[in-house]
Amino acid sequence: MTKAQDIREVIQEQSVASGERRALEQVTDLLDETLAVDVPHRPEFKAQLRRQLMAEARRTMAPWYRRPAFMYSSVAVAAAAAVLAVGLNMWPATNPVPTVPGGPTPTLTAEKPSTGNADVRKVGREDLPNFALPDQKLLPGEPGPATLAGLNLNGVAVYQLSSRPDNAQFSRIAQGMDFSRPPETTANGFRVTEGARTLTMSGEGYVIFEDKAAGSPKDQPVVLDETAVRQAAQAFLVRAALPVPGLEPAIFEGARENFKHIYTVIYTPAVGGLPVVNARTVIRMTDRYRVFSLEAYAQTGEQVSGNYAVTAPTEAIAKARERGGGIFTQADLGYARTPNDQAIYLQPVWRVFGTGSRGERLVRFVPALAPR
Amino acid sequence: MPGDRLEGPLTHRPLESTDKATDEAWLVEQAKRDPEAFGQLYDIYFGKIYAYIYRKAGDRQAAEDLTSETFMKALANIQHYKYTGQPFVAWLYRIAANVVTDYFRARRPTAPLDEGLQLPATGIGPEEAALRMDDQQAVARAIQTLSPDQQDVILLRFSGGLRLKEIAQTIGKTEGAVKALMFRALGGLRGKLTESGVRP
Repeated sequence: MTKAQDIREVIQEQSVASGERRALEQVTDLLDETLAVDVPHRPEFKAQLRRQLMAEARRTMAPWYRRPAFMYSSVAVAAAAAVLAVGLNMWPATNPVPTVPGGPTPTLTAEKPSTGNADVRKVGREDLPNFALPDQKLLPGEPGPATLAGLNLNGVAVYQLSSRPDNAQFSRIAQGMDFSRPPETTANGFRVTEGARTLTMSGEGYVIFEDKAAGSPKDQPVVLDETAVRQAAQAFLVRAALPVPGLEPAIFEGARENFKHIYTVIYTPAVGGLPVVNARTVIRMTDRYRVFSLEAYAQTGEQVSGNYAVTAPTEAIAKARERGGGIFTQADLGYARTPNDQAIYLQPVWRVFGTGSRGERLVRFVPALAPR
Repeated sequence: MPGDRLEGPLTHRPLESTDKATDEAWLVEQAKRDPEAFGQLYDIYFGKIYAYIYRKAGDRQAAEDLTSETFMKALANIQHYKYTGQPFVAWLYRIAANVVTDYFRARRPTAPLDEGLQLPATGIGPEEAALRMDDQQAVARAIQTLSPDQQDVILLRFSGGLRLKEIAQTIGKTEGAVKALMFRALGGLRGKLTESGVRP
């Protein structure tokens, strides 16, 4: 079919002279070419608006732990009871705590993950929330698909997190980040603000930190190498009592307003050797080792809820292709973090790799559990 | 069976229903009660909505303000959204169009569009790049001379990727009226582009 065929038909329907028709078709082609191009936006605006929307959404949408008691399942009640009785354990730092030149000294030691304090039962497929994830652009240097060798596609584990994050965990994170004020409870989680620094955590464990006054652009920048940035990021996570994902982070350099150099560190957590695709930790720091932005998930330990067959990778690739918008050729397996009212699950998801219509490297996500 | 796809509670639907429209429908349903799902919708559609508003409003500050207003209104009203087979983005465009209309009732754009235009990353040479930038700026200026309705049909079709029928439902007109608006808009653009010395 010709490009913009519907518009050509509109032009044709008007029965104009052939010369004018050709001219209008050329206008159509020009519009097709020029208006398909993205309008650039300020990434910090997009991120800021997202945070505002999330805060508003959490304020207006009733969170799981504030709903009437009759809505709780026995699982959630048991999990809450276990949290009250035992308290939460933190995810371990799987890597050694580095020393950062000129940076903060880690003060927290790693603790073991939660191992059975909460009531994690075998779940049926009907318990698992459906999910859809938007396509993700692969950043330069990010690896392509991993091998499927050794995976048993007839018995892939589904995990359930052992409990929801709570005030005690939030307080620990806040203390690690040197907040001295007591946290306040909000409609959907917890928040603490001191000066230009704000830390929030949702009931699903989504942690956001922002320091609007981080660093002074008048200071001489320090030229950092990748190792120093990685060590600084890891030290920050450990100090903040947040999980340090086991996989190597991707590190990018850029510029931001007054700073010539800023560094972005993206960690992808892994469970059972597979990446959790929508629970990435993103840390942004200045060239003075100051973290000015953090997005992370406070995990609370995961336990196997059952083992299930997954669809074939060829089927996932076919489904990715059906949606159009690129060429998709390879797939590997990961996990998607999928909360619902009762629990937070890690479900298998196919990561289908391809190339978008503008040549960008894309990953498209296709839920992987096979039909019953 | 395909007909079984939408039966049952949204959270309990079979996972094989992964075609785009169905995915979107239940993601929207999730977004009515799950902030993270709303965040996913925002991630998916931010670019399209920002581009539409920027091209109508004409400057970055206004585009940011109006984009914020659009998504805040979407969040406030998503409980009332009902999936009718139309893409969700059409609903967002309708909110954005109303927000922009309200904005123009009070003021006119003051800054040129040039600062926000971007070349596709296709490895083209500098001369070709400059020509394409000229084209983009000329097209942007020409679109600004159209009536608001004509701007909508052009932007929703070529930037938003909506079909003519979907555009009709979005702006509350018949498909025939949209075709007429489209034809007149193309004619108007042809004249303006010719004046600017841009092909065609």
